[in-house]
Amino acid sequence: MRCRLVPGLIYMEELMTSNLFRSCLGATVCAVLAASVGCGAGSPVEGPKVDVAAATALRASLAESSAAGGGEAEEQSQGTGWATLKGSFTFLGTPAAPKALVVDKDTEVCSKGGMKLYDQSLMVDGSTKGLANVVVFLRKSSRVKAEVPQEKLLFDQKNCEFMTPVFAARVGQPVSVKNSDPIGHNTNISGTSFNQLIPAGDSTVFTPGRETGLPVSVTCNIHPWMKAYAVFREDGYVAVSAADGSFTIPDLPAGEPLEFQVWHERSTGRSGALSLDQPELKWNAKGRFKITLKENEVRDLGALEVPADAISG
Amino acid sequence: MAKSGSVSDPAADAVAYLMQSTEGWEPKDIPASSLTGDERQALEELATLYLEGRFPAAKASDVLKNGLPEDAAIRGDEEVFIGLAAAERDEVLLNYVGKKTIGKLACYGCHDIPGFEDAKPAGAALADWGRKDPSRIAFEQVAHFVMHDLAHGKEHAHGDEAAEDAHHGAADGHSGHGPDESADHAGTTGADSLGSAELAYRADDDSVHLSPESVDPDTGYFLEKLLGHEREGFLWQKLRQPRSYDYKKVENKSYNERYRMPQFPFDAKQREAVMTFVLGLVAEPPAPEFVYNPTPREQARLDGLVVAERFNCGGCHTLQMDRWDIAYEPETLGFPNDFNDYSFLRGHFTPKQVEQSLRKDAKGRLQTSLVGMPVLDPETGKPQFVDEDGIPVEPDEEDVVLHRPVMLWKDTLVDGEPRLVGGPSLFVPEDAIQAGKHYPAKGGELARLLFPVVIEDEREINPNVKPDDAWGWLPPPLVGEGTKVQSPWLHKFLLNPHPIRPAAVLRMPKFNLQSSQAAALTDYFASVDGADYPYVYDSRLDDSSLAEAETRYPEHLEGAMRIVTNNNYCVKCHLVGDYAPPGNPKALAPQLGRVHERLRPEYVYEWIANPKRFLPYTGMPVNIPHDKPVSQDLYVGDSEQQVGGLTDLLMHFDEFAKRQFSLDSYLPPPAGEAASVGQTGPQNVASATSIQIDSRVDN
Repeated sequence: MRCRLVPGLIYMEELMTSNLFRSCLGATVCAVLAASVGCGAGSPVEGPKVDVAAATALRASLAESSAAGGGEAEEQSQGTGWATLKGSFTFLGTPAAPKALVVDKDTEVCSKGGMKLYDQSLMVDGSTKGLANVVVFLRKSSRVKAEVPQEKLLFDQKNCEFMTPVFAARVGQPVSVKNSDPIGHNTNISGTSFNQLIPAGDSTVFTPGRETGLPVSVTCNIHPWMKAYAVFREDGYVAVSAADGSFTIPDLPAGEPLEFQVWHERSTGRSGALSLDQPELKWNAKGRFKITLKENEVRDLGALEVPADAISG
Repeated sequence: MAKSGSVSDPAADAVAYLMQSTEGWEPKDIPASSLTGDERQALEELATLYLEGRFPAAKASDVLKNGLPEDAAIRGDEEVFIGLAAAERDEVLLNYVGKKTIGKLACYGCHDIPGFEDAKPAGAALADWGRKDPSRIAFEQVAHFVMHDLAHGKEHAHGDEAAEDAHHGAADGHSGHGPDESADHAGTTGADSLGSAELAYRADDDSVHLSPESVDPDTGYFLEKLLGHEREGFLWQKLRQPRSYDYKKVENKSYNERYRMPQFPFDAKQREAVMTFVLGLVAEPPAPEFVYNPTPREQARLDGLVVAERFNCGGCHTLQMDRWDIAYEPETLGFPNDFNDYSFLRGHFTPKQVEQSLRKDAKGRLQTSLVGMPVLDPETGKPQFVDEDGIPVEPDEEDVVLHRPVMLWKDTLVDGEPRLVGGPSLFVPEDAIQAGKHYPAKGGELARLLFPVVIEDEREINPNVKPDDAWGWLPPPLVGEGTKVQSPWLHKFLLNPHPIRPAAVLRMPKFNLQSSQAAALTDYFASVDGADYPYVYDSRLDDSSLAEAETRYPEHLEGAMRIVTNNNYCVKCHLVGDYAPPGNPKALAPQLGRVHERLRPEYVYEWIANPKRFLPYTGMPVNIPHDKPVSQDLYVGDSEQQVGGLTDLLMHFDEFAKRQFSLDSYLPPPAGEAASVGQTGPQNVASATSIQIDSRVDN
């Protein structure tokens, strides 16, 4: 929730930590404090002065925002047009051979012909060193270009593993949860109330109802080794790096600062936050970086090198 | 826990740990494995002493020698003498004498001793002693004793010396004073050391007379009260020399009938303090309107809590979830999901509750009450903090608005909209929590402590372990237990626990509860959850109800059994009869063949419809979505009918199993058909067992 503030108070909104001062009351206190500090050092101490004009403007603003819905206000757009962000993650280390998973159930399907299933948490392209399954998403957006697509995304499970180890969807976009195996699986998506059994060869539709802060796990309780991750975003500004490590997020709001969150399942950062040494992007330990794109710009971040010690195991 | 996923033995772990902590300790004075002749003689004498309290001397001697016949109508401690001849005699006598001695000395007054839970207190009730009718107080011959005592100048000794004597008495164990032994102490002071010689009649005893005025004022006051048979006098002397009340009485009392109260090492001031207290115990009954008179249900809750406290049920199990009464800014707790489930699983709120949920306080905040579990960090086991996006953060992190994720265990209203159990965790702003009040959970410490440990253990086997699943391996919360289980089953289970969840890493020990204690706990769970108890009638358990359902839905139970045994559904995880699914025990679920004994039908019905509505962390999926019934090849009907079919099958599983069983193969064939037995017998059996499960594994 952010207050719609009078122009004279916008400075305070930017100055103060936005999270701490998101309530209108907080912003009002800021304004009062700013007025007091503005007296300046060395000047004679005077009592607080009534700034009728500012108070009137503030009241009007509060009344307006209240009428708009309990203090809620839409994110103010500061730019126009759209732009694209792209890049590619490369892993600088040498990945260890993936561990074979313990498959001890429905082996006639899950270990058919002696097939083995492997841990897919770290997938590095042998030739390009591209790091797959890195999630990049915009934390907040002021505007969105595209409507929520209604074509179904496919989330399949076959041979007792999820075919998409990390998948992204937009809130409201239907996802066809499919079971291509001849045995039953259940699909249990953390952070949601969805946990349904999908009979052999069947599918069901899941429509994410709210966005996730970070990717959440998707598991099958019948076959405990099965695991994937899902990320749902309201605005759809999210990408999962491909097998070669590349990613692209098109139609981003241009002309305004954007903050992105980067995540990888095996990242040593807290809860998977992937932190890189990219000072020009102000990439921090929480796996976030900031960037402002120009209208119609296609910004290529190039090769984003992920050091070996940024990935656990 | 072994990497194979096998379950550890906590008892063995505890024993190993305790045995490691001896620090060079070596046992000393170990009793011999068998009694010496003297010890055996003493044992026989003690047994005789106790037996003579129950039987005439001749009968007692006979019982000791020959025991009691099998058909003897004897109840009580003497039951051990039934079949004495065939038993280990020393063991029987030691048990008997030990139990009688514990009873006599009232060791259970301080110590918790199995079998003595309902034993009577050793002393008189003191609750209203301050107004006890003096005519009902046995002064015996104590006035003579006190006069004799004071006249011979022993009063001065009631200081440190008396206290010391009392200590000796306590150390010796006051029951250890046999007549001969106590005679050795006849010359000492202190009532604890009074022996038969002092307590017996003596020719010159009655010649002593002392007036209250002739001694110091305090002593004189109490002496006067004693002579006047008043409470103060009795109590004064009882605290000075408790066993002086046996004075001149021992001739008519057996050893075991003598007073047992030990002499406490009080000085005069302490004695007076105790007297003041006891004399103040007048137990004036409060006015009836102020007497707490709980309803039967509340009384059941209180009685159950006593047992739960005593056996530390809350050490492992959560008995009550955390509750946060919060004051929050509107729309800061996210938005509700659309309800898209069975109509009977919808949250129920009154219009008044909705209205209250939307009522703002003076600061513009709304109020609600959240009941649930804090989401724990899977690595530390500590409550997690997240930012407004739900991303985990440190509690001392700057520049973030701290939120606490809460897994709801009770439906609630937020912004006037229902938030249901089984939905996503709520991210509650820290300031909303601080503006309200938090009521911590009751119990469950061990489960929370083990939460990160079992995850770490399982991760060695399965790197893809899901933290929430770990709750299913730990002692479960017992919130909602009353509406979940059938009271008779719970009562039986508490008395003799057995494994239910194959995935559990700990097994509930047998607490050797008494039936009444198990009943109190059973009623407790039912009462706190508002469930019917102790007798519950549910028409779904009736055979007539089943017959009606089978008339309406052909192949009602058979169809349900086809769902159970289909390779997509129940048998993927559940034990069913003699079938156990293969794989990691952590992925196994309880035996369905015993559901009819354990669970309440209504619970089973709603649980099958959506398990998360009742156990938010469960891994069990929705098998029959409300809008997508399972294949009609298995059961012809809509989702609700299929859920009903499964419920009926599980609640009549024994009946269904009986129908599949035929005695034909065991019975001798009728005359004339013997020749065809070779063909027909096995066919009959095969057709009777119409449902086959491929993989059979011993449970």
